[in-house]
Order: sequence, then structure tokens, then C-alpha cells
Amino acid sequence: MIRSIDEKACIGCKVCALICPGDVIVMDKTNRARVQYPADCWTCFSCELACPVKAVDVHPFRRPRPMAW
Amino acid sequence: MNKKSKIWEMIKSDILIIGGGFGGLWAAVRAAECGASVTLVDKSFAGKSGHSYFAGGAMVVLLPEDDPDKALMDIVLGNEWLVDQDMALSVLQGSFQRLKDLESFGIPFRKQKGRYQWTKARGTQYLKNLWPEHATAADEVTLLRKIALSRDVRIVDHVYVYDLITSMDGSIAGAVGIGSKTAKNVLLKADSVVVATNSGGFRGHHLACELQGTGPFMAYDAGARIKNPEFHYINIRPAKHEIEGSGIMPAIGVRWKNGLDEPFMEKYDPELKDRATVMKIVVSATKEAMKGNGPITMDVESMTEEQRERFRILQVSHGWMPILFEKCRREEGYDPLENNIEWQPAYESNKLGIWADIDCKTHVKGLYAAGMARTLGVNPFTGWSIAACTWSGYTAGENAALNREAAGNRWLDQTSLAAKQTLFFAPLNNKNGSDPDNVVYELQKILFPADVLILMSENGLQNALKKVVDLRDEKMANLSACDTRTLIKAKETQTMVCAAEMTLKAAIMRKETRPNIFYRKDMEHADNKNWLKWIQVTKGNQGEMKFATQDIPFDQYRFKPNF
Ligand SMILES: Cc1cc2nc3c(=O)[nH]c(=O)nc-3n(C[C@H](O)[C@H](O)[C@H](O)COP(=O)(O)OP(=O)(O)OC[C@H]3O[C@@H](n4cnc5c(N)ncnc54)[C@H](O)[C@@H]3O)c2cc1C
Ligand code: SF4
Ligand code: SF4
Repeated sequence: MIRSIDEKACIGCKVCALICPGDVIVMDKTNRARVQYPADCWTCFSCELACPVKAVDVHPFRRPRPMAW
Repeated sequence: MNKKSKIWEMIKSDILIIGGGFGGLWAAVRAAECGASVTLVDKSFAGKSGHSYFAGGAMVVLLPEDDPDKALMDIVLGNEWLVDQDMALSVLQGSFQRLKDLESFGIPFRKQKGRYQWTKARGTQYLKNLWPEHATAADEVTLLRKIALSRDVRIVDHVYVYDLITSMDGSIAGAVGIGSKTAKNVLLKADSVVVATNSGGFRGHHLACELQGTGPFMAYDAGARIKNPEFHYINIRPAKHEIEGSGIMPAIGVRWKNGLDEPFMEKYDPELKDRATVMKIVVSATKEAMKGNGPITMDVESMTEEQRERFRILQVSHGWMPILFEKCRREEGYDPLENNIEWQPAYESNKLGIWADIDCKTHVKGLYAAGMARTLGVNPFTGWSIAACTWSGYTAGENAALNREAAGNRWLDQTSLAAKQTLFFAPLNNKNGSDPDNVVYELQKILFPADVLILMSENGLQNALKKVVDLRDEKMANLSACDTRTLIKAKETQTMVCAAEMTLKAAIMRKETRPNIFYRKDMEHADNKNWLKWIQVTKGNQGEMKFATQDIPFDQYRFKPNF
């Protein structure tokens, strides 16, 4: 699940917010990316891979949900 | 705040395509090539959402020197005779040309000494998987998006389509959507519509399976038939995070193990063992766990360094895997390629889809279906889905473009449009109603336990159905939303509950087992006398689900069962 976006490092390119399939990230008024809806994260790493300044950090574990056993 | 509003952003085109995965993008590329004006709309960013972007990239291809009969037989047997053979043959016959198209767009496929390299698709004897060279399924859809744009396809990202709109004569006249970031009302008028939203799921813990393709249910509401509702695709994944490799690891010799350190697949499938079909592995692992022999692991601790290296090379397609491995090592203290971890069944997707003919045309005038939103067979052989989504997109785009009839002077059914809008926005009025996320969680608690959809039985299915019907009656009219985001979630939740009811009812109907595609623990044998049939569902006049069986037209098919 997405863990953080380093506000200071973010250069406001908007790529992460544009491509995030879960619509988890929004751009704030100062044009910095912000994690707004972490519970909807797909843990797909697209944002971390696309960020040109490596400001995004996704943790490997997914949101827990009911299991088969 | 988005409220029902009369202000629309109107977009008009000959063809509207809903969904930008392999199905939708191929439909767009082909329809534009055939001279139509095309709009493609996606709730996220077309070409970077859905299953396509996250797929491994293996694609079933029939090479010119291959024998179509042998390949078709694999598909027929893998689907235990329940496949549309005309469709399957058409997928195979078009596959090499689509590979050539991809190469001409700039995605070469792996070759050695001038010959295409291939691997055998899991669970088959002959079917070939080809792999893009130094590229992934993600690269393919990204490129298809570019090609579509270069052919003047208008791509509208971040618009969620919540319903189809019809003319007074019942034919399709477009769709209605809402800007997921802007809350704008969007009216998408078109002569023909291709639904390519994928089928749905219940947000299982498999990568990308948060995706809820609502398309088949929009089509169902508009009068289309749903086929194959009893089937679903449950895969197996590490319990806490993703690893793509449940197919690749056994292919390079890694074994499934239970908690007693036994390689248990030998017992359940003495011939294919760890390389058995996904359904056999999931059912066998579940049986072991139910006997108290858990946890289930992929025995990576016994891997040789050479095997690990092969896995890493084969998995270059997933750019996120090295990051995930690195973070597990650094932060969680284990290496998923060196330490055994627990694996669990993971619901991947429904197999229900819109019934469509060989031209991907549905029963509703002006409506086409492509990708997994159209039924494309039940067995998820490696590489089959991309091949079949590609075929159906190309076919639907071509036929929608060539057979379009101007809807210009068809009257839009304004009453029905207003009713659809009212229905979609209704959750905004339920301030104290149920939160869609909580309802989905309740639904997962009903559907995911092993004895519901994995080890199916009359009892387990009936119990789950009763709970789903209660959930429907208690919560569906009372879903609550406070913004566009939750409004979309409310619509998706309604679809999930409807899909659950349909799936359970149909699974209760099919009283037999077909080991590679459908497992009932209370009826462990195939019933070829009564069940060489498909199940179809239509919506009745009172909104009820009408189930019917359809005979498979073996007299028209290449292969006929001799039992
Ligand atoms: C992790 C993973 C790995 C896989 N690996 C392989 C493989 O190696 N080989 C293979 O053959 N198959 C593979 N598959 C299966 C295959 O990827 C999919 O079946 C196929 O890509 C589906 O394509 P599609 O076009 O039907 O749907 P998708 O690619 O899911 O696209 C559907 C699109 O519709 C959009 N959408 C949905 N609802 C709406 C709406 N209401 N309004 C607007 N837009 C909407 C979505 O945002 C999405 O972009 C894999 C699947 C997964 C999940
Ligand atoms: S990991 Fe994927 S879903 Fe999660 S925030 Fe990043 S892009 Fe979005
Ligand atoms: S991709 Fe990186 S730099 Fe660009 S907006 Fe997101 S966090 Fe900022």
C-alpha cells in the first residue's frame, strides 16, 4: 500500500496522479502530490516507478481482506 | 458536489468504446482504421489501468507452420468442451496477423536465429505462448494508446460510465458518465457502442483485481444476455503481497508444498503435478489446508541459484517485482525468492460476460462487446486472455465501424436517460445509509471462505446465496455517497452484489464437476448427458434474473464429443 510521497522532493509533474488506477493521489493547491485515499491503493507500484524524482514510496503489503481460510 | 444536473458535456462520435485495455484499444485502433470517428472513454487513464497494463504479456499465437486443429483441440479440452469453437478458431486464425501488427507498431517478439521462440501454455499439449522482446503487456497497451491517438481516436480519461443510453426503439445510442476527478456530467452519443470494461470481481487480493468492470451489467440492463455466470477465476498468491509467478515457478521446476513439507500436487494430479491447471492447484491447496495441512507454500527454499536467475529473467516483464523483493528483504527481513511464505487463493475475476456472436455483436442493436466483458472461454490458459481480448477488440471495432447505422435521427429516450441519472445519484440523498466499502467487505466475507466458491457444494452455495440476498435487500436501496468517488463506488457495489447473486444461482444450477474449470465437491464427476450446455441470463420485465440453458451447437463445430 502507498506509504508516503516526499513533498519536498516532488516537482509537481502530476504523472502519479494522472496514472494511478485507484485515484489515490491528488495534487494539492501548491501543485504537490498528496496521498489522499490510501485505502484504495492497488499496491501496483505504478506511481513509484513513474516518479522522475523517486518521491513516492509504496510498501509491498496489500490492504488485508477476508481470506479463504 | 456533483448533483443530478441538466448541464452536460456532450461528446458525439460514430463509435464509442468503453474501456482502454487490450479489448478497447484494439477496437479503437481498428474502428478508426475502418473510417469511423471514435471516442474511447476510461474511468482511469486508458492504457495504464485495468488488467491489461499489469499482465505478464504471454500471448497465444498460431504460427503459420502450426496445425490449427491441434491448437483448437487444446482449447476445447482445456475448456472441457464448453467453449465456442468458432470463436476459438477465429482467435487462433487472427493471432499471427495481430502479432505482426504489434511488430509493425514497434513491439518485436522474441526470436532466435530468425525463428519465434515460444513456451507451452500451462495445462496444454500444443498451444504456444509468444513473448514480446524486451517489452511487456504494459508497453503494448501504452503503444496501442499512441497508435489510437495517431489515428485520431479521441481518448477521454477519468470518466466513469455508469449506464448505456438507448433510443426510443431500444437500440443503443451512447452512454452516460461522470468525470471521476471533475464531477462533470458527460453524455457520450454514438451510433454504436463497444463495451470493453472487463468483467468484474469482488476486489480479491490479486494484483489489479480492485478493478470492477461494470460493463456486462450495463449491457444486461439494456437487454443483452449474460453467458457463463457460474464460472470464476480464482488464482493463488502470497497472502500478504503480490508475486507474479504461480505459473512460471512450477514451469522452471519449483514445487508446491504443504505444512508437512510434502509436495502435495503429486496426489491430486499425478501426471501434471505442480504444472496442473490453476483450478486444480487452488482446489488441491484448499483441500490440504482444510485437512489442517497448511500453510501452503511455493517451495522457493529448495530452488537452485540457476532457477532463481531464470525466474528473475522471465520476470523482467514486471518492473515492480525487483522493488518489491528489495523492500521485503530490507524491511520485512525475508527474500520472497529465498524464504518460503504462505500462499492463499486469490479471487481474480468473474468469467461471466456478455454473449456476442462471431462479429462480437450482442442481441441489442448497436451494442458490441470486447475483451473480458465478452465471454471468451472459461479456462484462463496462460496467454489466452490477451489473444482473445485482442481478437474481440479488433473484431468488434471493425464490425461496429463497417456496419454502423447513423443514430442521428433516432430519438433519444429522454425518460429512460433521466431515470438512469436519478438512480445513479440516489446515494447522495442517503446521508445515513450504508458505506459502499463496508458492504463490499461484507460481501467478501460471504464469498471468499473456501467452502463457497472453491470447494463448492449445494449447501455452501445456498448459504452464501441467502446471505447475499439479505445483503441486497438490506443495503442496496440504502447505499450512501458523499462525493463522486463514493457515488462510483456505490454503483460498483451494486454490480458486485448483482454478480454475486448471479454467480451463486448459476453455480447451484450446474450440478457436476469439470476439474479444470468448475469444481463441486458434492458432485465430483462431469455430467455430459445433462450439462454439455451453457447457462445464460437475461433480465426479466420485473427486473428478475431469468436463467436458461443453451445447447452447444456441436453439429456446426469442428470437434464433437463422442460421449
Ligand atoms: C496480474 C495479471 C496478469 C495477467 N497476465 C496475463 C498474461 O501474461 N497473459 C494473458 O493472456 N493474460 C493475462 N492476464 C489476463 C489479461 O491481462 C486480461 O484478461 C486482459 O488484459 C483483459 O483485458 P480487457 O481489455 O478485457 O480489460 P482491462 O485491461 O481490465 O481493461 C478494462 C478497462 O476498462 C476501464 N473501465 C472499467 N469499467 C469502466 C467504466 N464503467 N467506465 C469507464 N471505464 C471503465 C478500466 O479502467 C480499464 O482500463 C493477467 C491478468 C492479471 C490481473
Ligand atoms: S501503488 Fe498504484 S494504486 Fe497505489 S497509489 Fe501508487 S499508482 Fe496508485
Ligand atoms: S510523479 Fe513524483 S514528482 Fe511527479 S507529481 Fe508525483 S510525486 Fe511529484
